Amino acid sequence: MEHAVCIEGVTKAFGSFTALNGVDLDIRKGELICFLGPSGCGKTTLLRIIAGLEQQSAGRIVQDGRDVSRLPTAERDFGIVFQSYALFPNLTVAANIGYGLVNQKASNAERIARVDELLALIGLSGSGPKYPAQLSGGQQQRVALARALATSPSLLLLDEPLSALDARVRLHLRGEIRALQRRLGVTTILVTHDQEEALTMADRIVVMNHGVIEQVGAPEEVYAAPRTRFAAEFVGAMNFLRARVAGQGFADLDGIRVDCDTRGMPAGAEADLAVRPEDVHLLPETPGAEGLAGSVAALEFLGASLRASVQLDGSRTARPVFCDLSRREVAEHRIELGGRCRAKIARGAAVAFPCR
Amino acid sequence: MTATVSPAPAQRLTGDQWALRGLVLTLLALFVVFLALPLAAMLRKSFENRDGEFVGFANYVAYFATPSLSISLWNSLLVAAVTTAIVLPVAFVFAFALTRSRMPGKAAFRAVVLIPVLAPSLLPAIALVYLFGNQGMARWALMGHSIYGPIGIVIAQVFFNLPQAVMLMVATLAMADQRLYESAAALKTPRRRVWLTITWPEVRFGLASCALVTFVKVITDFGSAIVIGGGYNVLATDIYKQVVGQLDFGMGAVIGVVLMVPAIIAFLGNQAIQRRQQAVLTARSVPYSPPPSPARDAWLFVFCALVALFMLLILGVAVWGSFVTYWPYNLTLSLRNYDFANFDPSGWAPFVNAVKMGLMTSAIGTVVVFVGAYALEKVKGFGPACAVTATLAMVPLAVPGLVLGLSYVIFFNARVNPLEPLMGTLLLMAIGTLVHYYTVCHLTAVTALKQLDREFEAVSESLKVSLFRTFLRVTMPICMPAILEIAGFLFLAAMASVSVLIFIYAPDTRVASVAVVNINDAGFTAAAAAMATCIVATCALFKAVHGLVAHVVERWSGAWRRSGGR
Repeated sequence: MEHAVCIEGVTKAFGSFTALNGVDLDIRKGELICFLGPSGCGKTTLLRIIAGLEQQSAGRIVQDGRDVSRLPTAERDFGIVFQSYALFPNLTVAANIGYGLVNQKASNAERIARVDELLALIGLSGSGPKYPAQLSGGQQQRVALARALATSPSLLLLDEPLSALDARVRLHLRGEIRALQRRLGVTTILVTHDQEEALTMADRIVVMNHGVIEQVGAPEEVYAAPRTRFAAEFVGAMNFLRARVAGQGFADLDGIRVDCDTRGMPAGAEADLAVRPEDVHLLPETPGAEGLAGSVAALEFLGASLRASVQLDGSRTARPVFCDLSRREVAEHRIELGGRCRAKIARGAAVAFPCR
Repeated sequence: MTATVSPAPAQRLTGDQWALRGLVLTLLALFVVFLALPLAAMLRKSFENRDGEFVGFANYVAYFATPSLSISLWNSLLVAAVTTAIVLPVAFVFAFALTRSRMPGKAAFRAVVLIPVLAPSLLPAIALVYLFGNQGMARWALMGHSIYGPIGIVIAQVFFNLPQAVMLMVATLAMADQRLYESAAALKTPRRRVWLTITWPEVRFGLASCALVTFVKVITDFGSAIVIGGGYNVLATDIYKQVVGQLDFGMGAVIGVVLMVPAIIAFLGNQAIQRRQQAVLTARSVPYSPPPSPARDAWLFVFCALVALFMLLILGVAVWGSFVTYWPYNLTLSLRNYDFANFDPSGWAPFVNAVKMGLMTSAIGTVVVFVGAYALEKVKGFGPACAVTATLAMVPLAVPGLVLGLSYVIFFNARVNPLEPLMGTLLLMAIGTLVHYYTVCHLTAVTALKQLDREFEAVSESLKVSLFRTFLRVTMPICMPAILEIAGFLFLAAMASVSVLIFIYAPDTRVASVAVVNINDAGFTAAAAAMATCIVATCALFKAVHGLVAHVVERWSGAWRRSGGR
């Protein structure tokens, strides 16, 4: 498959600070790819380098087979939406959307038709004569999106486009942007620090930290099989349980054998087993029950589910273990605050990482 | 591992970026020609004798060895210190009343205290001559002391410097966060402690800054001292006498350099203050709303009324005096003093010149300042040139107008200078005025530009729209209030300013403010008052028209601003 953008060995230094360190990445045509990481990880810098708003210290950017490293922003082919939207406050919504169309050799009527088409696309037909300040945050965001798409760019760059919005609007817009992107088939790069946003929207996620890529993969892949400890920690909630590798594919966790991905670590190596809270099952303490014995130290109500913090008896893991349970399970197994229980790790759910 | 990778080649520059670089370099060239080189020429002159030979520090030695000259330095410092000591508390209380009380008539008081902005600094001095001069109507009030000298200079300077001081203090005092005062009240903090821990930290930097600005303005002002200084010599009048009276440019240059010392100290002091002053207000602050207190409001009202009365009295006397046919013998009111041809061969020509020069300053200045600030803000990767230009834009704050004017004579009058034909033209006078007031305007423009979203340019580039188009369609319309403010400020400043122009006018380009000095020197106080009144009236008229234009522009292009909210 031909790539829309190839990033080859891109490095960016600001003085003595290295924002990006030899980043390689191929972006496929038509996919929505998410740069995910904490603030300062270099994700926005990488986006700005692709846009030509920032100049890389080394490496090159190839877009549609053409090296664009030396091209100024104006000669690259992309549309961009900033966190602040950067809508022109003194121009109407229609004038904002049509701002980039003026340069194209289109008649006035064609231009108006295109703006109307885009207004309909973002569900704001009739709002053309309004000013940005008269729209809600979510509507402004959609106008910025329409403005970026107006010139039909082959690449769409979204820099934390939802982080300035209320939680409810954000959820709604996630779906809308994703549907729009699928319909238009435009290659899209989304920069975000919100792992939930990345998991729900992306075709592929690029997990970044300290200027390097930690993992690239489909959301399920990154979630289920994190390649690095950072990826495991940053995407979703994660328990780390102190254990010892006992052989190829299994480890010893406080005297209990746990099947896990040992990642080639030799037997006897100290390891942290990464286990998702939903992969820890709580069972009632009954005579002859399996699993790690412990007591429920806290019970947090999350709506559809509950999160129990279980303090394991005599465990090498000092911190309590989180486990997610449905309300039905809580009732069925009589899980209650301060009560005794057994924690069981689901088969094949654990991944071992070297101890820090 | 990064070391082995060869660095990426630099991004190619767009035509837009080349144009911005060209603009920055043009601005830099203008600063060099109209600011740096003249100052350098003056500095050099201070080391030369009358024949242009290098004499080292001989002029400086001569200056400090001549008691009649060096005494001016102490006189200047004394007058400035006394004026500052009066202006600072008055401005503080006045500003306090405007911002932190529920006193009635705030808008009117604010308008009255700003009157001197419309007037040349000679006007209060002329009014004082009418009030306390040798034939003054209230001469008895001085109990035998003469108004000609330090007393007159100080009173005139207080009048003249109050508006700026009040505005600075208002800006400081307005920056109060209601939440701090509410927290203090919730913690049952006594009033004295509230003052010490909240109010004082809020205002101390503003007070220090205000003191420095006032002090330097008094030292460097020329208008009041020349009219009412009498035999009391100060630095500003000394330069004038050395250069215009004795044509001793070397000694004039020495005094110019001496005059720059306090200005530079104040400038550096202010920079240090601004670095220490952190943003007191954040976007989440709640504006202070004073609690009701009728007693406080009554006292403040009386105080403000007295100050306002003083301002109105000074202005009123000057205007009234200009209509009195022949003070003190014929008190009938007439327009005799406005027939300027009777007092000065140029008649009304200086007034026409002043308006022309003011419009030129305003028109050229607004374009240069705004386009220059825009280029400095938006140019990419042009570090050193930008840094030098931005620094030069701040320098005028440290150069007194009189010194700038003197450096222009020395630089542009030199026969070897290809720009010599500019000397004495209204254009050079407009440029000098612009350079003198450049920093204030530049900062206004930069502040307005910084409020715009940083990504506007990135968005237009990604949409392949030229920066020029975005400048016209977005940047300029949004910044229109600031642009109009700069245009208005420059006109008023040009109309009222004397110090920059006193050395660089030619007989046919003399402007009204200079004519006031000349006519007054010739002994026609009433006609001088009349010319000063013309300046005030023109400035007031301009201000009214300016307000109207701003209103129309806002209605025409500012619909988006009023659409706020949802």
